[in-house]
Amino acid sequence: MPTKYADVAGCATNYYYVGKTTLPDVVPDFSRGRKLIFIHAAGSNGHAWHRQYDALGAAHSPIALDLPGHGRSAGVEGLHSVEAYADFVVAFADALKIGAAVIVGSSLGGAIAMDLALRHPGRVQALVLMATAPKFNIPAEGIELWRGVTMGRAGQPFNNDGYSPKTIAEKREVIQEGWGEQIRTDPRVRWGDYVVGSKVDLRERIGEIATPTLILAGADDQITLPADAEFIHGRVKGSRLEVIADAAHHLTTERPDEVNAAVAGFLAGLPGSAA
Amino acid sequence: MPQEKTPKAYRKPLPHIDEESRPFWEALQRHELYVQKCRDCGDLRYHPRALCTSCMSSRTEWVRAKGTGKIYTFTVTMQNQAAGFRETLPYVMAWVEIDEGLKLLTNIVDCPPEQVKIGMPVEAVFDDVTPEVTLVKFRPAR
Amino acid sequence: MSLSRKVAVTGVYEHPTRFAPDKTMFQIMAESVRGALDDCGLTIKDVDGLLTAGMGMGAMAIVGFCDYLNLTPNFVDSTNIGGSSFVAHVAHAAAAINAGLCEVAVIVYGSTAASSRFAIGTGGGGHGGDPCDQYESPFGPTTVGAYAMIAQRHMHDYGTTSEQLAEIAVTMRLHASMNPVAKYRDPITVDDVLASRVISSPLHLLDCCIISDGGGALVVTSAARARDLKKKPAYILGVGETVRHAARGQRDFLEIAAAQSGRLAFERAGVAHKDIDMAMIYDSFTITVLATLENLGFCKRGEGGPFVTGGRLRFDGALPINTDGGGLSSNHPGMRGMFLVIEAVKQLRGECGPRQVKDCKIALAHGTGGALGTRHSGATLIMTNQ
Repeated sequence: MPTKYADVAGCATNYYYVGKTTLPDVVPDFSRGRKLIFIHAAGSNGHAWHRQYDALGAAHSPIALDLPGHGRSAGVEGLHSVEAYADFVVAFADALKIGAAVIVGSSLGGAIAMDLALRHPGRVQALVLMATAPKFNIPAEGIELWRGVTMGRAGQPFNNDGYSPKTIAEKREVIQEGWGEQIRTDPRVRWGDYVVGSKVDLRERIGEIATPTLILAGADDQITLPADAEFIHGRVKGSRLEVIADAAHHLTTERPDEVNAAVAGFLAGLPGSAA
Repeated sequence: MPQEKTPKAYRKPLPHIDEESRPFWEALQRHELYVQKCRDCGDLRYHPRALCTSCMSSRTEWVRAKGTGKIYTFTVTMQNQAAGFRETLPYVMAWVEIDEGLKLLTNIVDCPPEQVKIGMPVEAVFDDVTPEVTLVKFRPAR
Repeated sequence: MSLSRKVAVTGVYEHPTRFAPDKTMFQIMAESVRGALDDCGLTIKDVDGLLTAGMGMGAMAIVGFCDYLNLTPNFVDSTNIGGSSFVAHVAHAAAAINAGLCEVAVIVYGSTAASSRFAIGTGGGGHGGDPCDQYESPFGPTTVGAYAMIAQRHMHDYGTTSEQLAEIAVTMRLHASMNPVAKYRDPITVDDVLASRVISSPLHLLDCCIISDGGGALVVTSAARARDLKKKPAYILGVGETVRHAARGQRDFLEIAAAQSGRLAFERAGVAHKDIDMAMIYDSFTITVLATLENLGFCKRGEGGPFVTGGRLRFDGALPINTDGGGLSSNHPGMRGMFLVIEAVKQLRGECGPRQVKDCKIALAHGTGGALGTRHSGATLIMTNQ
């Protein structure tokens, strides 16, 4: 999948897209189906969505960006609040001359997407929220551990916590790939994202989201619980919830076919979609 | 039934053995450590070179070192991503001053890293790392 | 020295990036050249001398960079002696200008070490296929390890402590906090340095320089030409360069190249240590700073430990060093000599804002290349704005 840089408020922002490559100043063709902007999780990057944009790219125009400081985007730090990230995604859409799009977010990216839908509703055609919550349970020791990584007290940790037992038993390569994605971003940025995540509390506000919303959760997710997904489902009118079996926090890489089918089906059912 | 040991491929860098240095490396294979002495001005030198580093004479005497010395300085390396080394972390790298008054870069082996000290008396051990190459390392003197 | 006050550094530019995966090395270099020319009001058409060096550059990369810029200079110099190269390049450019070989020399550096994920310090280290390398690389000398062995010996001989080394790192981070483009700006303490994991004993992670992308360039001209240009010139007073190595097995390890390059620079400049208002000291590691200050003669051999404590090295202390935050906190894409000269010139111009050293008239820059514990180079430069 090709990548390209967009200058977003002076930040060279890397993004993945599908289709023909174009000259630097020429925005690629995003006229196929729906435009989808994928927002990755804490410390992650756009490439983590590759099974999604590969699958959806034939019928739609998926775009997965690396937020500042993440992956191949420039900068040594991320941004310092969900609101700053949401505003950045809007500025990114402006740079790509995208008015409204389907906003897809996972984990912290889901919180960014929810904030974006609340404060920039005109930019959101629909919302897809995966492995996310209106308030994250990020233990203080976890944040301190990552601060310790940035201070050289320990090497960066990685474990199976975000994966379902079935993945752990049968799909080790998916977990291996997860480690590969983790080390593509400076631990300092991941630490900053956990601090950002610890301040998120959207529980009161998500009732105001008035856009078609799909919520996906991994049945075995212990980081953001299926109960969190149900909470969002309960507050966002007209939202659809699907809990995917044999998947946990990394459902996008654990059960990509089910995730992709759910998203494709949701997109097909949106008002204004071709029959 | 005794298990046949399949030798693991040696992945650390090996010296490039050329005509100038061949006598040194062959002697190590015989488990002998040699340094050089200039036949004209008497200056001792390591690593081996064809010319004296003091007077540039080509007349060289190969002098067998006793193999004993003291640790001049060292470090316990905890991080090295290079092939062959990352599998053997932590390891001790040191400059050992042999009794002949010359310092060699080497590894300290057969010693827990936390016990290595500057000034520790050490003796040479010859590590046949491959069929073609033997390296001289040092362990605490017995 | 016949060169004194005849040549000046007249343009400087430090590329603001520390992580630029969207740029190539040559691009960062060219942007730096443009920045330095803009800084002094010259254009690429004025440039008739080019000096550069880089890690991962082939032997003829300077010719490739001339191709990139479409430059056909009258003078080229790609001396590569490690991170100190650019400090030595100032001397080489000065000699060339003074001899009439060129008039406007640009010295340039750029690197994508961070975005290329180049493990500078703890990969195999070593200097390629030199004869001496054959007797070292089999034993796993990392760059950190090679410096660590100097620290280990210094501690043994003089009782220097990790706390004393740590204070250097703490001061570097303080300075970085006043530099908006430094990579790491949040304060650290001595305890933080000691709590960071040991990379190669006795050096902790925070005793070691960062890895960043980055680049910079200098414009060097005759003093006469410099007086016509935009910025206050930094006149070259004295220079010196040399190397140190295993000395055929008989090396005094705690003597480093700075002992000789510094002596040459001070003699040629005709100034004394007390005349130095600030110093840019290559800080690949905390021990590099300590050993350099001793060997340059700012303190006696063995006194480096107490010398670097008590705030002496702060921007407002008795001997301010590395006011940009150094390689330990601001910028280290693999070779740092370029940034030593840039910050020294900025201090002499009075451009350093909150980190400005008061009444800065004479500045010293000392670069170290290679590894103190195996073999290295040293290049010293003394400049004045008078």
